[in-house]
Amino acid sequence: MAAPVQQRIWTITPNQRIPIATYTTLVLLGGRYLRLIATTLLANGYTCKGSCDGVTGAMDGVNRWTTDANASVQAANTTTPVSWIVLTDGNGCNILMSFVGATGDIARLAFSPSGVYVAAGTPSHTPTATDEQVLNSSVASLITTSTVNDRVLHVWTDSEAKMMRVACYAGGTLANGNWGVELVNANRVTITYSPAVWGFFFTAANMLSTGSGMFQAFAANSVGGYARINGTTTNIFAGAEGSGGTFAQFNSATRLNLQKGVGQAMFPIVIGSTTATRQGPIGYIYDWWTCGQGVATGVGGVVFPGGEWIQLADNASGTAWPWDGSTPPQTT
Amino acid sequence: MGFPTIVRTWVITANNVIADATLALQAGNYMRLAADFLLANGYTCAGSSDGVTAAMDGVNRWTTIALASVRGTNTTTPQSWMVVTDANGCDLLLAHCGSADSHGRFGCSLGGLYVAAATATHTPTATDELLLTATGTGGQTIVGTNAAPAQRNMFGWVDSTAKNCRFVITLNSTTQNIGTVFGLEEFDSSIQELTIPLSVWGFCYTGPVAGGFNAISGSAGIAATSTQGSHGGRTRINGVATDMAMMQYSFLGGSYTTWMNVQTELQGGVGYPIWDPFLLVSQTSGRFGIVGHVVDWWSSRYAALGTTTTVGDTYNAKAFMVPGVNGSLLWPWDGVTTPVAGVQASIAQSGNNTGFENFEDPAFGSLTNAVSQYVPNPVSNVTPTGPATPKSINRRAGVDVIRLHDISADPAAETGRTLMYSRVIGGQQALFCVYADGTVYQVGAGAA
Repeated sequence: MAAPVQQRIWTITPNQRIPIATYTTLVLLGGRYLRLIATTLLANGYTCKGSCDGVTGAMDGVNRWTTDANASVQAANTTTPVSWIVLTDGNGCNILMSFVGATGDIARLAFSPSGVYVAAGTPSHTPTATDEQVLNSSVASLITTSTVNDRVLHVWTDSEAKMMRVACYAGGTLANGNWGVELVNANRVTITYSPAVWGFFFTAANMLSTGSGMFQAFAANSVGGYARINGTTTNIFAGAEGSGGTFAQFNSATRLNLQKGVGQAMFPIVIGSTTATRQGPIGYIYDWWTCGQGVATGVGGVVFPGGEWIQLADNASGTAWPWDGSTPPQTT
Repeated sequence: MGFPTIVRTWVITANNVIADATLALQAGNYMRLAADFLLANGYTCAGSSDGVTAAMDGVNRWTTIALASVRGTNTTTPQSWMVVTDANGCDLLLAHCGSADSHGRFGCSLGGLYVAAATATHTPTATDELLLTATGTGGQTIVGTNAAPAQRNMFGWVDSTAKNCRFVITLNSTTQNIGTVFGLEEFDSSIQELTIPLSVWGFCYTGPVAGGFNAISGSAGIAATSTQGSHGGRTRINGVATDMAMMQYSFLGGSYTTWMNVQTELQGGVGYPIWDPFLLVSQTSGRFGIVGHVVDWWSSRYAALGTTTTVGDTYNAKAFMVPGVNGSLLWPWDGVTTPVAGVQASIAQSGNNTGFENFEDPAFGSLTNAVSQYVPNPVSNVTPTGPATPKSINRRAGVDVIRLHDISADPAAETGRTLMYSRVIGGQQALFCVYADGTVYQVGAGAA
């Protein structure tokens, strides 16, 4: 057996460094972070639906984040002029990044599954959408509050611009902003679910293959995600193969003798919901697997077996995302 | 609404009454019913004991219940025993052995190696014996301890090839499992990569509510770490006795019961989820890993005792039957008979095959540590420009084969890179590369 075959064709834009020496404040770091994500997505098939540089805003297809400063106007709430951008993906979904937060490491991340973001009454305020799903409502820190560490951003996009995910490190540690908006292999859903997309947000502690990590119940701004299924906002949580009441037994450091002892087990991750009227399993999420405990605590960003996958979280039982097979991932 | 495909063709003996009697007679009756059913469906008798006369001579001496009911306190005491052989050549031992009248001792020999003990009425032995019931020289309760009058009901399954069998016993007054659920069956071992000469396991579960015959408990159910005689089963892999438990999808921090009492709306709200066949897994040292799938054994609706689910409930016009109290498990049924597991009537449940094809795409990564990465210093630290010297896959020791999965379209050119890939065009397998300027060349072609 070998590591899983990646199901999507990924473009990974790794190691996007945000030097603390250049971006000396949290606000500057945060604005750079958001702009790098937007730039990466726009370079990989996403289109700009509208933007605001904190002064001028419109849902007019213009990318006003032409400088870091334009992406760095932060506001305390959604009804204050702020840097925001709305991108449209290959599913027709809108992705919103609005620099709303109490501190510069925080922003509002959201998406509109049917792509219906419109400018607010005052266009420099945060846009709104009738089907908006807020992944981080200006609560969780995205890039840590460190005043000494560079941030290193990694962005994943697939070849159809239907999947994007983001992870960021600071000082060798995975930050909390592990989020994305992605197509789902919703092969278990028999009712209307179109586009079959979920948005997710996981803090670093919840990027682990544990019952108290990724596989716990949905919690806003912390673990899990959202979808709109048949018009209803649906909270989503993840699961995987478990034995003995835990997920760890076969995600352990022990290599599987019965599978020639070549590695630890990797299990596909599935998602489902217990939201009223939308209960049930949904299907697999693409290219997101559990992985074994081959990495010492405190070591994240390890690639395997030949660089095709990366274990993100700096703990013994992480989860795996695709990697490009060659680039050494940077975490510090 | 959909249901799982039943893989084997099953012959089922249903609603066998184990009449009020002493526990010794009820235990003997349970074993005799099982033995007679097997012998009527392709299994052969290797030998037997009526507690007085015994030999491994192919003679079935259990011609009456009484002759199957002579209990020996331990394996070196005269007792009723029977060894039957299945079509795989495996032996199944049923012995009325143990410290109490309700006890029995079950074991199996995958090599079919049971021989009579030196004193033939004692429990037979086999060099490759896998004891299924509790460890020690005795047995465990196989019919429960409810003294007469307490009617039991017995159910048995055997497949058309005489290679799979399973048995359940219930207490009539409660319609609950009681005693011991056991079987000796083939499993699908295609998922693992060691040589398993014979993919057969014997299993043994305690049946009562608090026992191991359920898919809901992480600590004591079928997915719990195997405990001999209580939950789990055993096989031999490359000669090593290997204890096995089952594995299933788990959600919400480790719960197996998510959605098990909901007709899930995302699947149309047409039935309670039925999850695909469980995985068999081993944590035995040296045999750690995924062993295979059980055959025709699924999860089903779980509802707390006293609500609406019980042993004997059926699904899909009696094509499936719930063998365990509170539901949660599902076995094939005969499509005709109404199960009578006790005083509580069988209910026709709504089911829907919503489980994942667990492990349809198994993968076992080679998660290495930082030292053994072929990429220099994978944590990278301060190498923002990457390694100074070009990387070659040859630098990764042990690479014998590079697998290129077919893609359906030429990839877009990438600056500074040559991309190699495999496609099937016009039915012809070919290897291509695309240069950074977008030029595509065929590198090699398959046979014409």
